[in-house]
Amino acid sequence: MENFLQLLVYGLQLGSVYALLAIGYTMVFGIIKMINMAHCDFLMMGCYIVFFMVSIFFGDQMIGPAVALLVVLVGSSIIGGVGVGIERIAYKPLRNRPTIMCMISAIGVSTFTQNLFRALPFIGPTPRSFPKLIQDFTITVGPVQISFARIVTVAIAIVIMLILWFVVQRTKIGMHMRAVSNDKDASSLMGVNINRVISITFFIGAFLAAVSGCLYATSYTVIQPTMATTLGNKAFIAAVVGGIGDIRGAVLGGFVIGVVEILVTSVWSDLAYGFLFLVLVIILLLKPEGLLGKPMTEKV
Amino acid sequence: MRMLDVKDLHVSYGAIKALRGVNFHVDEGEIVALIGSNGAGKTTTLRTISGLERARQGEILFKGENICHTAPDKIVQMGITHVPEGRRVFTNLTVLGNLKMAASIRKDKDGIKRDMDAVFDRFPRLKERMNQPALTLSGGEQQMLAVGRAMVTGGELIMMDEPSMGLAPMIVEEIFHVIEEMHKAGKTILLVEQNAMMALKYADRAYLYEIGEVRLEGTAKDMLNDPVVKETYLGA
Repeated sequence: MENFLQLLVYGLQLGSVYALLAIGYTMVFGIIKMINMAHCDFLMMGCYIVFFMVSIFFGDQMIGPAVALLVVLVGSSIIGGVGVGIERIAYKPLRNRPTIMCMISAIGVSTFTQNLFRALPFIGPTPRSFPKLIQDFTITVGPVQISFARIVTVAIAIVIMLILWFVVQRTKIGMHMRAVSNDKDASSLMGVNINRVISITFFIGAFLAAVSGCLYATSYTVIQPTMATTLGNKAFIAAVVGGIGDIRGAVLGGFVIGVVEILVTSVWSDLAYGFLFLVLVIILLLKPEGLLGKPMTEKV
Repeated sequence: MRMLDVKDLHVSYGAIKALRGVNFHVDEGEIVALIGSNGAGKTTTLRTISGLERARQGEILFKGENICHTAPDKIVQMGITHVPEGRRVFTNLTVLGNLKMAASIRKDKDGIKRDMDAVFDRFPRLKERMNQPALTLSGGEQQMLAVGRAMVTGGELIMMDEPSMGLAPMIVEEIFHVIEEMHKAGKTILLVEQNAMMALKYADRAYLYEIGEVRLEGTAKDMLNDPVVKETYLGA
């Protein structure tokens, strides 16, 4: 039982990373109906930018929690801007083409980015160690020992998701995003600048991916240019399990996948990744639109 | 004053020529109808005016300014409101949310409130369903909402694409009454209809489309009496 609670905390922490990453997949899909195969690379870029910011500005010295949070938010915002740029260059010109073309372009972006990072002399293919952002210690609650850093990452992820939920449901730009995901032409006819809404969506998606990268690397500290592919696949499974296009679904799916992965790993670690696909298949068989997704109707 | 002037408009979808040199104009304060059968290019004309399709050749002058290369959201801000074919309400937003979307380009809070109240006075059924997702509305209610949105956006030129499509005759009458009211309130109306009889009853002038071209034009009265129109489109 103690062991289970312990694993649950690990699962929730990994789940919060998947959830943040899955939100990006789901939001981009919601708005331009395209699976952004390069989405996971924003996670990797987030890790690197924070790595460089810390080593350039702070060297080896320990930074306080407030500064660490600031570094993560600034770094992630820059990656958000990179996301906007990539959409402009690689996806926008293909917007009125079949979405498969956009997806192929995304695969190109992903391959290009990873190899560019491997080729850049100051990054290179060798793994690096992500800086310690929080002074970690162990909290003992009854029989369960919980790492403070893990609780902080889950808490940060949840706060960010609540903020996002508020933005999407209660603000004007959130309403525009929902409208554009429902009907682009009609949104244009209401005077909404579609390009701006899509850019904002990419910014948010890339920002969240970068944050999720930092949260991930806080516990799993090895970073390298190809680190994000597997994480991205798992987050994508999470988005589909939850119901692609639905933000709450991405969050739920993220936590489900995170917890399942950790639990299976504790029993038989080689099986975990494959088991996630089994979860995906079972859920899609029972509920093809995902846990919280709505059945898609073809417009007539 | 000339509000809209369409000159030699060509639009293609790939190899298919949807419009082949269309010319027409709308003067301020008029109701102008574009009639003709399915696939003649009426909807394409409206979509091109709104900037959703791009002209391959020709000019669209709105109050003297060429808007052929203007972005759709800018065109709305200039004063062209388009009620699209098939209503296109945001099914994932509530009725109120749809009206708020229609107010996107406006900043005058009091005016928006007043216009929304006017919509709810005109369509009490929408008021009852204010907080329901638009998905749950009937076809007629969705059309009311689509027209309601145009009342809130409030451009000078209102373009209506097939407002009668798929609706019960009573609701069609109601929608056309509202169009008439908007016209009386000073709006200029460009109306696209397959229901030629209905359109000609309300319009001042009309253009008859046939496979991407304007075949006939004239006052609504003349059109009603034209033998070709009568036989082909009025079923008389």
